[in-house]
Amino acid sequence: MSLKLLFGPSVGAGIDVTSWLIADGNLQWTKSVDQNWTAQWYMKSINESGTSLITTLGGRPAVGQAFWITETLSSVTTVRFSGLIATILETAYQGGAGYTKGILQFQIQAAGWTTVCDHRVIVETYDAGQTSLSVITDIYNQTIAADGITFADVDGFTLSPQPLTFNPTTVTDAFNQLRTLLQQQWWIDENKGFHFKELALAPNSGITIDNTHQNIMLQDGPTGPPQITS
Amino acid sequence: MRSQTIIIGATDGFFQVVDFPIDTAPTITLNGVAQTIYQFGVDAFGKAGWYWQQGSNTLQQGQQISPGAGVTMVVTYNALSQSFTVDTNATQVAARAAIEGTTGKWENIDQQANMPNASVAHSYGQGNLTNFGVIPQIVVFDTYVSAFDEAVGEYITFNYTLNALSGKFIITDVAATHVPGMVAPSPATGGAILYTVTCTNQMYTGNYVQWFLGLTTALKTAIQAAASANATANNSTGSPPTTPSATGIQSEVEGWSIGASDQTGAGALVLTSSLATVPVGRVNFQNSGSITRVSVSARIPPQGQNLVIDILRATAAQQTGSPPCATGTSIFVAGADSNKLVLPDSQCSVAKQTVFTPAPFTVVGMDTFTTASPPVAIVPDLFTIQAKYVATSGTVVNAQDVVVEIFIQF
Repeated sequence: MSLKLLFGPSVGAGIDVTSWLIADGNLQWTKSVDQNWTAQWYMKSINESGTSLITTLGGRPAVGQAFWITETLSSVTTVRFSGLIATILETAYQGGAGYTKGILQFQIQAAGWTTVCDHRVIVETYDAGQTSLSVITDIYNQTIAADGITFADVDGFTLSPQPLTFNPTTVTDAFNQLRTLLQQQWWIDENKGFHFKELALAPNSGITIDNTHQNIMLQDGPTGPPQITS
Repeated sequence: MRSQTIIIGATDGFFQVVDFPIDTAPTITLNGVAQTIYQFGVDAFGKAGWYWQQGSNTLQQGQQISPGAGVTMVVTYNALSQSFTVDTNATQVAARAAIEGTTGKWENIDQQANMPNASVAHSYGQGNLTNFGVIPQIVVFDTYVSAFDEAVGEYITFNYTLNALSGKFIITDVAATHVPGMVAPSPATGGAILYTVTCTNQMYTGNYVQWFLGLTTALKTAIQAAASANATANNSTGSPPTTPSATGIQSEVEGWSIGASDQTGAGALVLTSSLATVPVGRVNFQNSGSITRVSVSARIPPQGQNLVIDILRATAAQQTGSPPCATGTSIFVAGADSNKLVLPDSQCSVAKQTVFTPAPFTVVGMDTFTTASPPVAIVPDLFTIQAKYVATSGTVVNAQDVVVEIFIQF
């Protein structure tokens, strides 16, 4: 396994900052069929080779910085998470006696690409009778398409029985209104793909857990044996 | 089911009113003789029989001929004459009864406005039972298998005896944590990713009630506007061009369906297709109004090419063959493709207004059919939708799940 943390507008154009990660189990991310995807990690300003993160980046890590977490398994690299840095808590540890330099620690909270929808606004009225696909695609085209979000998987043949007015509304709120109306879920994945799905139409992951493959589920993980709530 | 006896009066006997809105096709007898039943908006008007309309109290003889004063008319029909409906999941009631030793009934009340008839109310009830009638299971487990990280929003299949888990479970949440390795703690060189997966067998089916309400409301609106709407599906098949082509007009594919929605009074006919390829279809409709807007959208946009949509209106003389031939005059201003409805390369939707010739484009009127005697033979409008790709540059990818909408203001 090899994880990488890259800063940059795309995974191909990212600066590898993995060596500045603090490997203490704080590199985490969460994904959900609701739109709230989060990630967090700790970084230090000087890596084991003595190279400065700030020098490498040309500045401190910044809010809004696009990042990519990739994993390489058997020579195949997969994007595990990507998004934008949301908050940074910087802590300075002064150098001790005999030291000329201190070190900085960056505690970073980040969000998935849906955070783009938080700061985009739609002003539009949609007549009744349009399909949800028409409404969703129009909002998408007017706003987040230009931000590099792609159209991944959107259900769209529900007819709107009433006019929809967004005057103005953040894209997040507009999609949330549609989510309530349609009883569907929406999210933007690690490859910047936009999903607006009816969960009953969820595609097959191809994963089967049966008696033969029960060990897929750990017995001694942090949450203990598999838990079933009903 | 209720039965109502009416003694035909001396005037306007071809038009009768029953006590409650009719929900399903009634049966009618005149002096004990069964009558043929037709439905407004579904069957062509003018036939020798009685026409009914869902949600309406009225019945009308198609040739506007009275049975005669004093004739006994008996109408037997279903009507939404109470303000509630009851729906039950008998399987779950029995299962609860076996577990609880009670009746097994978990009853609840849900109030909704704008239920036009019992069918919609029952659909709503059944939908709620589908969504919430089974106590869902939520499964949480840890794993090192990275495939789960890529499967948010997808389902896995359980067939696991120990926890009696079986069937589809949708992955709703995945939380990942890098676990540092003992020797090589850096994520770059060691450790592992531990995933905590949450999945559920709760099956939200989406708000089809809204869809159903929208559909029925719009159809009702259209019918009340003395119009009818129906769609013809074509059985011939075709496939989109695999390379960019300026003349790649596709042959017809089946799959057009018609829906409509607008409860504010402005009716709309909506052509939809769930086909993977760009369809070419036709729709017949008899209506009175003007085309005010057309739009096209695609779940997967065309790439490396533009998708050009033309809409042709056929004259009566052009409506030959079975199905009628795909010909006619474009509703768009003559000339370049840019005058038509063009879904540009890599774009998901586009709409056009007031670009028709003449504008607004008026479709055939039907206002006279209820008063003309003898009934006027109506030649319905026939519109043909044609699609073609025009190359731009690069690798071409055909659009998928294309929806063309034609909005008609009544």
